[in-house]
Amino acid sequence: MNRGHTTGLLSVLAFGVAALLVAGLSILDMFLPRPYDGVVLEADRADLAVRAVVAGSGAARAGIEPGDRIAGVAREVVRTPAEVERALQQHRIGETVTYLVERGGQLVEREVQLGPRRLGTALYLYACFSGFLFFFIGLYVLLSRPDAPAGSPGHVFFVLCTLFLLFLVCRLRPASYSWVDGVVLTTGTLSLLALPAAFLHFFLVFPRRLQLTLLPTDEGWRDSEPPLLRAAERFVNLSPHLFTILYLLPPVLYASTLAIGSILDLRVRLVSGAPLASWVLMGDYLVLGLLALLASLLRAREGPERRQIATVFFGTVVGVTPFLVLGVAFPSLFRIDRYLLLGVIPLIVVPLTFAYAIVRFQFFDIHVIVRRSLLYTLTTGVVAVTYAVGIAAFNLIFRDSSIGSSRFYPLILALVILALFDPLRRRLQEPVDRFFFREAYDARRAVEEFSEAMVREFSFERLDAMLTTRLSELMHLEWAALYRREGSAYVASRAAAPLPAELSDRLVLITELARHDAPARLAVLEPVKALDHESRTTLEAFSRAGARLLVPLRTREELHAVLVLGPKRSDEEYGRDDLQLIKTVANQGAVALETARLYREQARQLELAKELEIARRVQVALIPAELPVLPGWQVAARCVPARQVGGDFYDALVGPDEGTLALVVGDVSGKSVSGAMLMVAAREILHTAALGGARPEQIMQIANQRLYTPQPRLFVALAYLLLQPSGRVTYALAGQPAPLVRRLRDGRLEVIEGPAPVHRLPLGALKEGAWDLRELQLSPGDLLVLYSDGMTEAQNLAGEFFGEERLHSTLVGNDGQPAAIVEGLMSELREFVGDAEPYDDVTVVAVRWMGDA
Amino acid sequence: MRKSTLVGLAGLVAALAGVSYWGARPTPRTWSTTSGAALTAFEQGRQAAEKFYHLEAIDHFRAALSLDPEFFAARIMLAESLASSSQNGPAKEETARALETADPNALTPGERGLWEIAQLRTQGKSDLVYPALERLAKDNPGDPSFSRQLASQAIMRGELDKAAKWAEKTLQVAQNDAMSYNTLGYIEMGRGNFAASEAHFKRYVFIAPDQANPHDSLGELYTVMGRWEDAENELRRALEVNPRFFPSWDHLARVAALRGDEAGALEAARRSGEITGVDQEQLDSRMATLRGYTALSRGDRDGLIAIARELPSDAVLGDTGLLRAIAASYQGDLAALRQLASAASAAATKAEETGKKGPRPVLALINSMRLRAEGHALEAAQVAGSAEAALNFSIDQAILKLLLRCQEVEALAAAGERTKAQQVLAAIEAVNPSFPCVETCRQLLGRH
Repeated sequence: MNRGHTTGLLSVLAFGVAALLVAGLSILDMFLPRPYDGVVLEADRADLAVRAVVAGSGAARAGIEPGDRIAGVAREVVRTPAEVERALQQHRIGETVTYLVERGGQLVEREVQLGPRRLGTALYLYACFSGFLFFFIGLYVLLSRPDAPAGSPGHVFFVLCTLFLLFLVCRLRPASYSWVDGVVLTTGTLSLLALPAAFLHFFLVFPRRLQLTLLPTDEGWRDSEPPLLRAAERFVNLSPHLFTILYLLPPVLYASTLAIGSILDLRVRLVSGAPLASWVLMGDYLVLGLLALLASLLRAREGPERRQIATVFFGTVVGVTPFLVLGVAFPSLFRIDRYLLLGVIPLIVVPLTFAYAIVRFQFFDIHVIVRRSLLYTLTTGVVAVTYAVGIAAFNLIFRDSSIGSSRFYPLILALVILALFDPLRRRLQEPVDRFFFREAYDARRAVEEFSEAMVREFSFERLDAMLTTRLSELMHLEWAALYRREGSAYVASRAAAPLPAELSDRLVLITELARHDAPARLAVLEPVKALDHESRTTLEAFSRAGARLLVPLRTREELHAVLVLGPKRSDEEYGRDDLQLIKTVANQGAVALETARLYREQARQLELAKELEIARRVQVALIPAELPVLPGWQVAARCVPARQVGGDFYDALVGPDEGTLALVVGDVSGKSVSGAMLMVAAREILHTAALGGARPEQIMQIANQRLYTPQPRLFVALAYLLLQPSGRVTYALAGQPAPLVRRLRDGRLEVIEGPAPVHRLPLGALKEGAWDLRELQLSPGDLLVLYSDGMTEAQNLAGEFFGEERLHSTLVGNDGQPAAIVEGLMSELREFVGDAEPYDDVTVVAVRWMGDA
Repeated sequence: MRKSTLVGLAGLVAALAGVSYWGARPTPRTWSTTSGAALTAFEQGRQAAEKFYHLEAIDHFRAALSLDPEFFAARIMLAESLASSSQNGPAKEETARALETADPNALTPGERGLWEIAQLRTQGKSDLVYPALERLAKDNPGDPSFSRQLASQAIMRGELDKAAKWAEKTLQVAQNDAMSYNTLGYIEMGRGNFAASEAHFKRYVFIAPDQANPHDSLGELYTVMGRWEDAENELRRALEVNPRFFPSWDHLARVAALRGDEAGALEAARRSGEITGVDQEQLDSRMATLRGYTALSRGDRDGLIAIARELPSDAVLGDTGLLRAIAASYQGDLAALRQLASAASAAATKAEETGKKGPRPVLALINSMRLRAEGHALEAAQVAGSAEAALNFSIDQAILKLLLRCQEVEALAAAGERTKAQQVLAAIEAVNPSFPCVETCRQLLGRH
């Protein structure tokens, strides 16, 4: 809470405490014993006829009887009960006062000894009850929003309630004719001056500041609009000085009325202690306040807010109208103020209506105020009684002991009682407090349960719903929207115009939110507007939508989402408890989002692994277990699929001519199942073409045509090798490395020159293509090796590639059978790679021409 | 916004402003002082003056003037209280100072009225005072001082109904105004409304029990009613409060005389004489009158005749004339009655020239006796009966009224109008069954 807010809160609290003290003084004065004669007057007669005499009272002892008429008290001729009261208050309890009593047409004097009586009546108690009801409702509203800024509706409401307390307790009391009267009545009069201003102020800002429209906003009017009206409209709608003037006007009117009277030698007419002008102004303010409330009602949207305002409006009209008529109009217009109290009685409807609105519509988010007030008072009473019983018991026990006669006894007693009192108070109040706060506790628990449930949820969609719809329901929000990170943007999952659809992660606003570990009010983010135009636009859009809070959902440094919260249905500001709850929800939400993301990632990994396994099986299934035997030729092949990236295969095709054998070594693009499918397709195409008797160049063309698709781009790197009985080899390369040949005669390793790059494109890479067919004549004993790029690109843990040199040297040093050569290469490769995970499939095919069979 | 809405809004604002102005309009202040403390002291002084506590009132008014020396109302009421407590010199000085220092334009309407009345009295324009007071009372209905003065003025003018009206108006705004209760008590006593009179006097006593006058007034009432013991009690209470309150000694002497207690009557008269310091001749005359009433009360005709001879021969009005006429009537001395009637008529005419109205009923009683002695009984009854109406105020007049009624009974009886005589006697008995001549009348009409 910032310093200004604290000062505002303390100021109004100090005012409340001072008001409580004065009200307490008034009540004490009313219920202290006062001199009383014991006469009960006829209520419906104005001639002071005695209806009854209290048995044993001074009047009874003096012989005053029912049917007598009181004509004088204490040497004053009296005509009204008020005059009797006033005359009695000049004397003390126990004093003897002379009465003039008329009986049977004769006047007789009687000496009456005055006894005690309390002035406070049931009606005054009622006024006090109403006043304290106002006060405690106002106090609860104030304390439930301790961080509200000065001048917020909560503060104004508390001031209004406190003024009602002062007015009801201090102005509507019977005169006691003691010094307290002066203090209390003056306070009551001052409250009377300020009350209507607070009343009007509250209804001008409740549920939000009323906007007065004096001129239409369309352009047609703007050219000719009266500047005075526009200025007036601006002043009423925007100026903070409006309320200052509202509050200053009553005391200024009061003082100026008296000053004018003094200057012009005129006597100001007072009604019930206040100048008549003040009463009239109060009436004006009350009427304007009701009109303001009516305007708010008419402008409110359908829904809880409107019902809440309607309830308050109804209660205020019912409560205030009799007061306006009997308390303002009658004294002003007819100079009759004897019905003032009757006008005050219905005022209690106002706080009761507020209480109803609180319970029914979560007005000000209060649930338990009425019950709390009553029961808390009761509990306090129980504790006080217990305390009193404790003192009495101590006194009784130690009365006759030496402890009791000690001069330290009072001190010891006080310490003992204090020591016992506090634990007792705690013990008694704990369950009561639990009961008082049950609903609030329930609400908190509901949110906490919601948070826990959220953590167990892995579905983004359901998390989105929980963080928006469900949170709105629990916290009685107008709306909530969630921007969840997807790639480089935060995409709105629950947002309607004018909210933006997504937020870029480059926004300064996002950077700023990523640094926040708590909900941020829009006002706090105001400086961001100056740093980034897009952030400014975004914040303005939020503002237009009525957003109140931006809540970052982040773990460590990662911002997973931004929760945007609209106004509360009560239109109250978010309080400390709210912010704490939201922070809890945000923390849990961030964890839930992170968990969901990881879960999704893991699921994806598992899926991928599964697909890879399928692909691997397909691949293994497609690779022939044994290659056909062609006379004069030794053939060996091996394909080792890798886990991550695969697609190598080799196969034997029917040659175009009798006694020929075609070998292919392929590597399909794509991974996993899609790669396997492509492998199947490629194999089938090759076999089909070969079986159809196509020449090698035709096979390449057909395969290219069949494999080509614009999207997605699929291709197959292929080496085609046609072995002929003469030791002649025809080959074509489509994206595969050129074969290696080791001549028997000198053991030298030749790298067969491949066609030009344009003639060795992978199959399916382009729609049209041409592949050079090359021929190679092997001598008996010559070895030809085909390999996939997985061989040379295999890496060890140090990150070194197996490379062509290592391949060449391995081949040069191995003059065994093709199978041994293949095994030797694989063994060498395994040794080189070590524990490193193979990245790509490795395929090696070795053929040797043995000479004419 | 539509024009009609603007007009409606403007109308609402104008209405609120109008009502506000109407409520805010100030009303004139009552007193000119701006000092709250001075005003408080002044109000306390007024309350004390209302209850006839003039010395206390003087202190309050002086306190008010010490706080605000230019407080006109306080000074003028100080003068009134000084005059009421017989300090006529200082009263005149304060009045003169008040009139000298006051600026009539700076005074409130009520104070201007006080200034106007004081001015008229100072200038000796007494005849203009009453109409001025009537106007001021009408203009200042909430101010009891004008209506109170009007009641006094009306009594002095013999307009008792008006006096009663103004006294009642005074009580409407100042219910503890002692003078008004006293005034109304006497007026009701004169009207024969003794219960109402007693209520007024008792309120007066209740308001100011430590003053002698209210007890004395109540004592007078009881005397008229023939409640001798009650009368004596109240009169003695008055004397307990103020032993030098000589009217109560006089009234006590009258009660003793009417009860036939000559020693008591003479002792009370002596005490009164000591206080007032009358000369021996006046005291002797007073003593003789009381002895005459004592004889009348006892039915001692010879004694009364003897005492009448001691009374001064030049005194033909008042108690002296009455007793001499009764004695002459007892003697059947027509010449003496005619001579007395002639002298009384001349004295009454002379008295009326100076503005006094009292002598006429005494003259009527003497003439009634004369006519009866001359044998004109019916005319005698008529004269006696017609004179009663003029007797309304004070104990002396009440006694005279009873005497006139007794004379009427005797005249009617002499004329043979016994029924009418019985009715008049019943009326007398209703007022005061213990009055001395009542027994004589009963005997005359054969009632015992």
